[in-house]
Amino acid sequence: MTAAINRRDLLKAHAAALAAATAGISLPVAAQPVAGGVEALQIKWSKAPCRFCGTGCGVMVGVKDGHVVATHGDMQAEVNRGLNCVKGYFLSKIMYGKDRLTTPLMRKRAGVYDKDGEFEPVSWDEAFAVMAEQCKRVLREKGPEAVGMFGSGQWTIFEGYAATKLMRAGFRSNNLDPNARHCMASAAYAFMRTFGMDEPMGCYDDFEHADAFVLWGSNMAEMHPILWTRVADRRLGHPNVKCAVLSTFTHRSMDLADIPIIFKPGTDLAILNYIAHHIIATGRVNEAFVRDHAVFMRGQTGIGYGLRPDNPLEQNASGAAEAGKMEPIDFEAFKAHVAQYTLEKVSELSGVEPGFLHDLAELYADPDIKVMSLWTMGFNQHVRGVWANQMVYNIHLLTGKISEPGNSPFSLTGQPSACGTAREVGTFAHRLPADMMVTNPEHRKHAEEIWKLPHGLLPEKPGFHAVEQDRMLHDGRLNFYWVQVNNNVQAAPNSSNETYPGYRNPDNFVVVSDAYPTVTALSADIILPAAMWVEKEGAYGNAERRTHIWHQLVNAPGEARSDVWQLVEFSRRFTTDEVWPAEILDTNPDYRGKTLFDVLFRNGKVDRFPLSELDPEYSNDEANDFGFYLQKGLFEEYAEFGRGHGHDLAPYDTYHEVRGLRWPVVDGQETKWRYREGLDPYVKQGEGVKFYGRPDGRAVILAVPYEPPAESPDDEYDVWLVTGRVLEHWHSGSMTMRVPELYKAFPGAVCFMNADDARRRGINQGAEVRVASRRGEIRVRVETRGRNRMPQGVVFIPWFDASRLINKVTLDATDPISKQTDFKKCAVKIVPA
Amino acid sequence: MIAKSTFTRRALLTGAPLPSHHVSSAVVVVLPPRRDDVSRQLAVMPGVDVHASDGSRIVVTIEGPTSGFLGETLTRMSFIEGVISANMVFEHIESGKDEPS
Repeated sequence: MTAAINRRDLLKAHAAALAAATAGISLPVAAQPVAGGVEALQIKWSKAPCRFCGTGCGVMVGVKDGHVVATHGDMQAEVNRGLNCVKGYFLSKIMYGKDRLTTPLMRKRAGVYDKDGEFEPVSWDEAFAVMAEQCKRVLREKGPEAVGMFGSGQWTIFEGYAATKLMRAGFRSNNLDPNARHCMASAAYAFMRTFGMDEPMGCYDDFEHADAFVLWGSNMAEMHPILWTRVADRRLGHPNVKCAVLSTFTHRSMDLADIPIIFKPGTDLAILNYIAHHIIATGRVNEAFVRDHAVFMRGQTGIGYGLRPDNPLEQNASGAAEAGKMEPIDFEAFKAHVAQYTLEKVSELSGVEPGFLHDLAELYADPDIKVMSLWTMGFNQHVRGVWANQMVYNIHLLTGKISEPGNSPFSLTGQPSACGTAREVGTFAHRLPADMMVTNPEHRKHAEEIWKLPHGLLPEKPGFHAVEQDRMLHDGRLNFYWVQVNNNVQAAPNSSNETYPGYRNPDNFVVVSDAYPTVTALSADIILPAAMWVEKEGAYGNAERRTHIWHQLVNAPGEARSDVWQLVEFSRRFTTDEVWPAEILDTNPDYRGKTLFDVLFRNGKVDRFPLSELDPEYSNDEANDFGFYLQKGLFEEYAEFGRGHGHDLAPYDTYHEVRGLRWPVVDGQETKWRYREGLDPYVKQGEGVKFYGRPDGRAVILAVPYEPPAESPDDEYDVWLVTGRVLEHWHSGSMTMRVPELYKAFPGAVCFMNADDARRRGINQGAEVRVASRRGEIRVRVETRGRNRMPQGVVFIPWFDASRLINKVTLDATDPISKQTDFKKCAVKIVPA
Repeated sequence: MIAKSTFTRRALLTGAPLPSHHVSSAVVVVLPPRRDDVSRQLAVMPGVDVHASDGSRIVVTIEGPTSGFLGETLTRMSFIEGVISANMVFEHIESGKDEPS
């Protein structure tokens, strides 16, 4: 045995000991860790949340010689307890793709900006000068409604907050929306409509308390592998625990299912009403809970599909004008409504065996079973996504299975700060921070006060949502457009007809900030190189209300700058006199002659923390550039919105010490379960349960029917298309496709298809086919085996592959309430190529 | 398959010099009735040692010349019949420099 082998044995023993500790397994004596462990590696380790999904795993990031060299799961992070999924394992490589953007690029011809020119490197000064000139021209000619921004659930909290200030207060436009609109707007609207407050009442601790798990349209095994491990540990470690998995095809999460349910697309709505009916018909309503804490409503029906107004489906939609309307009813009316959804009828509609439906309903009806419902895109990307979310709350509320450990309707998220930034900061076209609305004059006034801005400045009309932004770009009504941290030309539905043409419309000027030359960046007029993840100080909020902060650990390459730097620096190019109405300045003359930087960021609040408060161990490029601790100032001003209003955040510096805290953080204590006395500091003694987000303290149980999808298969387009994700790649693949190992693991999108369906069309395994809809087509290879097993009449194609843009094929139908796209249901035909 | 050309069990056993050497541990969650069968399949994978198992969990180490080899091995583990999930815990890199990415 050589010395090298001995050392390797030692290393392996150390690694195994850490894994065993994580798994709660005792190792045989021979494999115990060696005292002292592995010696220091001259690697500096710091904490950060993972850059990918909404789980919010803690990772330790190893930096050596200014380079991130390794990442591993953080043993101190409660979310993942040292575990790291395969995407997280390769985190260290996402910043080092060969085609990283390092300088601003502008389309030019003969030395000047030209929309039809070629990309040439330019200075930040030249890029910003042209951007400012174009933005001012559009504001002058068309006003604030022609200026817009598309942001992200991957924005840090500071970035989303700076963007909302710049857009709403600076340019006076609510045309600000995040890509999270495509991701979980239905969940957010349903929370507001049911509880009057956004985000889950429970948390990940529910995994260790539940007796049953029900997955409604979520493939956690591939998309949330760390949380899936927690589900699996609970299920496999406790024989009484059951797992039900509902999907439109068989995927890896079905491996753990006691109750596997494959239903026809869209019929989950009927299944949910059947469960409510079953609970009532078998006398298992928690009557005291419903009497004291719930109120019954009936939702507007016939609400359309969020298509363009001239579409016949919209013209025939009798209830589309007031899609969000809810009217009070009583329990008897609700009972009569769901009584239509009998087991026989729903079994026939959904194609699900009655026995499985009954067993599923019993998980909710049995008062002795604590049940956790989990969902992601299957529910949210649904033309009735808000209804689907609310119908799950129905069955938790009817049984009182909510707001206590293990009884938990839980909306998972797909982006690292979908909650923290898109929802909590309020970067939606209709929102302000801390669940406030642009349409509410009191809310606007409160925001103006916190921001120290003149009364009447903030616009009241909700802006264009994501799909509408694309339509308005296409139609030439949105003319200055800035895209940050997203890849919407790849992500948006019906992209060849509704997205790409708007970017190249000669009336429009489009800026894209990104780290890599995505298809979206290449569709722009200016590309700004972005710093990413630990190249900047950041803050994310995960799906369980956990706010998590990290330090800048390395420098961004070349001239790449963080999105927050870009937003704040750009604000210097505008004066109030140029962009605010004269009447506001006439009545508030103190604001005259100031730059937007002065009034938004050097306002005595955002700039109040000096550089001396920075941790000398870490760089902070933005703070050093602006001369004050920008991130802390933005965070503390933002936190004013929520403190004392159920959204309390801890002091900023606390978050550098901990692995995140779940809000509301009151008296230094985080809140794991909301709305229940003894668990939530906002519920007073004697109140028991109080849904204090609503004025009456009661949650809404909503009567809504099954309504069919916007487009279903017919004789010509005879197959359902479902799009989604795979384990190895994250969303559009702009990061994971640049990690060679992940690229090799799953290099291109395939069409998962039923073998009989393929055979009938004369298509062999691996053959290339055309997948065509009424909107467009792509070519892709067929996979009849592998990880997803498709029922007849349904195909699944992941959308991470920029060389096979499946969104040329999808339909731009949205939920009419949430305006979130349905990427799970449209009709296609599959023909040999 | 990049790793197979540069990494062999023989090279490991003889202590032959390698450009870099990665050691990571992983926790594999399995359906309990399949645990012994999965353990046997894991044990014959190149670079993989099974250290302990209990109930639904198996603790393994994976070693190899590149993080790509380790990540590919982890992905292959997660698709073995009976495996519910496979996640990394700890990684150690033996030489100073990671392979070029």
